[in-house]
Amino acid sequence: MLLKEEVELLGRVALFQGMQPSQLKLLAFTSKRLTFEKGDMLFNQNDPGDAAYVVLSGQAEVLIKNDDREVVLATLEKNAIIGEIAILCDVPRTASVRAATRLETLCIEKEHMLKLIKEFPGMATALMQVLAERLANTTAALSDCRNELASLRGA
Amino acid sequence: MTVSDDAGNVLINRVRLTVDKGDQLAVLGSSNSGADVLAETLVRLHVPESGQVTYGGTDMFDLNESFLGRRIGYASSDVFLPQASLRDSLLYALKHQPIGDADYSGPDQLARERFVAEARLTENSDLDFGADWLCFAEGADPSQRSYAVHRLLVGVLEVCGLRDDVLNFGLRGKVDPEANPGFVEQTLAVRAMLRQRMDELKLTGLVELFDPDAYANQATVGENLLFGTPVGDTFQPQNLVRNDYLYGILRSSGLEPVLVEKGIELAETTIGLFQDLPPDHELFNQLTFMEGERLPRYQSLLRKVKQAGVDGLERDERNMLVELMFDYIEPQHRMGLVDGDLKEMVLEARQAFKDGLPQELSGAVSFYDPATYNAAASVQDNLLMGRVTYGIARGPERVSEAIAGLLKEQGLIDEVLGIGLEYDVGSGGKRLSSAQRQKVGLGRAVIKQPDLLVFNRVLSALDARQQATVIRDVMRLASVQKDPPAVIWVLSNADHAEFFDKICVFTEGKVAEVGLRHELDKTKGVYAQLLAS
Repeated sequence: MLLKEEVELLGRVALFQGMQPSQLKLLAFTSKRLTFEKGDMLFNQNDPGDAAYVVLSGQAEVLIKNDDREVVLATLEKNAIIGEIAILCDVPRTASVRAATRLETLCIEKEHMLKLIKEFPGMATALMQVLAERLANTTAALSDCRNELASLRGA
Repeated sequence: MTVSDDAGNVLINRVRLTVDKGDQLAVLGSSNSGADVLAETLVRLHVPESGQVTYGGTDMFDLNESFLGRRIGYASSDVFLPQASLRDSLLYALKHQPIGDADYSGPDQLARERFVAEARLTENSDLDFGADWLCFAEGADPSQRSYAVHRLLVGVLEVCGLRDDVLNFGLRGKVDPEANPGFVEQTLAVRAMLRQRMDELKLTGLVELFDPDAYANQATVGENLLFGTPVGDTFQPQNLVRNDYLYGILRSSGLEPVLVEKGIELAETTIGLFQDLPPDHELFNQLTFMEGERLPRYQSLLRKVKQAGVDGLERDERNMLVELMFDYIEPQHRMGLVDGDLKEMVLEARQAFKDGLPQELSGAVSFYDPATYNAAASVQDNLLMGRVTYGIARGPERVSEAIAGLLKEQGLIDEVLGIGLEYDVGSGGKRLSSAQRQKVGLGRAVIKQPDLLVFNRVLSALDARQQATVIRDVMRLASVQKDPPAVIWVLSNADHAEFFDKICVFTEGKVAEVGLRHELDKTKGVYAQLLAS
């Protein structure tokens, strides 16, 4: 896949919507193409987060370990972004991610992402909007859960 | 004892602690708990305000430094290394004084005698830098000695988690084939084996082998033309384009105008990407084919192309564009500039370059040849005679692992480690990472095989898992030694105390808890709390 196509694909990732095409290009150029074979780990739970991955092709599984038992939480496909929280703040990985098939990704290093954000404040605003929207959704979902829990307890 | 700082703040307050030979004590506590100060006081970095540190019943300050230096090994997170090879950095700990005189003859002997006479007259030290200083008991038989020293070093590398680093230094190092004919022969044998066993070693697709008749996709365009390692300055990448012989080849093969056209495209794309960034922006490090400060020159070059067309460019200006393309690697830069036609033209030019190379330039390049050893290339390049494919997860690591496995199987690993030990650590050890420097610091203490080892948060640059491995291995080595040393290790992570029999927890300058680990495990004390948090 050429740089041009990667740029198009990045533009479809929700987190990067609102970024200028020239910034997307720079983001794609500074990112690395990384291919994983089926079964390879992208990262493990509790690892320090140093990069995010955009799926170009193939599938990835998000899993957590509970008492040595593996639970697959989700399967991610083309255009999905993996581990994006880690490139915005310092938190360890909350789950492990494994390649479920041969998996092609674009690997965005935290260091590069932060440098880009520093250079282009517009990019920070765009990211903030996406994150705020997500937070609003999460908050709404949480209050729904609380209401449901309260009604269950009341019953 | 009680220890205070210069301002009179009490750092450790009335602490009493006994450690016996062979004891393994983990000291826990936060950074201002006094744990670090304890370690520092044990090696005389602080003078107790009251009380004393005794060693075998004698006050430490009454003991001679030369004695303490040999019997105590200390390492903290902060390591200073003078410029030396890695080997000398480690063996430094075993060098106290010359153990014999060096052999001199002729003018060297006269120079040495004059040096000694002058040193004595001026009351300076007349110790000889050139003599053997290595205080090493085992292998008294001189023929066995160098092998025994090598085994000792390799053992220390393994324990300190430095073995893989040193193996990598060795693989990146160069070997003089005339001085090491045996090594060269073995390397070529391993190369042949690697080529035969690509599938079995899982290297197919991970490594692109060099083939004189094929374009190497993972190498730059310039490298594909030269298809060898430059010797001296003539064909170094930055000079390549200015070389008249190569220029002639580029013109006669018709490659030059193609590279100029593609260079324009590459310059346009690059300027489009980077023009909004200041020229010293760190992201320019990502750009392997253009330096930030050269961007404006390429901008004006492109303006000239627009006005006067490609034909209006001078040779120098055309060269600037060719130069860009010389550093281009398709799988890395992904702009679609290397196509089948270009590859074919490069291959023709490669052949023409080699065939027509004038006598006076024949020494300036060492060609990639699957059948011979390339003295100008690294050991790894000689083993692979190819390149690791871009963009495969953990690709370089997996290739290194496969090579290490093969070297081990073929009994070559010690030789490569030996080459790696010659690695120059740089001024202040700056050519090592901070983790590597800390591991060397640890190794220097371990190699002495002293009676007491004191470690003070020595591995802070490593992640928790790597720290655990090194601590486990050092403690294992310490317990199997003939005369097990006492170990006092200030740890940052309570989980790592599992490798010790005794535990001491510091809080606010005092010992909050001390005892055997399996007993403290049961009580619900400070140690249990630390473990749970």
